[in-house]
Amino acid sequence: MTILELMERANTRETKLTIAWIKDAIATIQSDDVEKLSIKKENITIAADGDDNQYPLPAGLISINSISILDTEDDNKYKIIRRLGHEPIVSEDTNP
Amino acid sequence: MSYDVEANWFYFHKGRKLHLYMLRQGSFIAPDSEGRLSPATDSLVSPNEAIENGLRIEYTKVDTPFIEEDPEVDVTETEVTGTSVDENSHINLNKMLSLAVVSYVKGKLAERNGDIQTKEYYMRDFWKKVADNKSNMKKVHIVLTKPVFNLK
Repeated sequence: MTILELMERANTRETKLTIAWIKDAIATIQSDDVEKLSIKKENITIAADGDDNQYPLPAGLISINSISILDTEDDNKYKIIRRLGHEPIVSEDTNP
Repeated sequence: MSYDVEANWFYFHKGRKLHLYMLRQGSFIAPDSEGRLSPATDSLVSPNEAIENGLRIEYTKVDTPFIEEDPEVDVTETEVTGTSVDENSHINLNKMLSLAVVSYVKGKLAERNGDIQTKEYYMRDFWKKVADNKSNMKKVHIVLTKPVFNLK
């Protein structure tokens, strides 16, 4: 369905506003259900500083489906790791 | 050399960052400097090994919302972004979800006009169509066996 067809069905002439609402609608659909999954891989580095264990999340992320780590001892399989229920008591590790 | 990662690695999601931790298990048998056996507790430490492409994040995002081709007809997806998005761009959704978006836009228009009751009606219609789309993808196979002696 084109944007023009959608605008005619919804009886509106404001293209930019309609495009913004379409993006909102798609984000709402995606936040409720997994319609399409994206994958990003990053290198893990040896932590030498207090925040070296922190990795930025991908741009445009709505929700995390799973986090995995490469198991090099088990035929290079990515295995899903668990999420901590609460933050560790150490807020910054100055000597990791 | 990462091993048993599902048991030894953990993450914590904080703001726009993902904090990774490894479990360092305490030793009950290693004596301290005075020869005493004191149990050390397990602790979480920052990763102490480098793994190429070691972290895999699986996530949802608004992926190519607008494309040049009709997704119901063509399988290729040429993304249209920024100022290139115009009225002739296609919404990258199937027919049912596109109809759901129509209801969403109608609801937003009603909300802007202060008609909350109509807005609620269209938002209900939006979620109904999203649910219908999900149920359309369910394929249930039911196999009923016929008893041997049911021939008439």
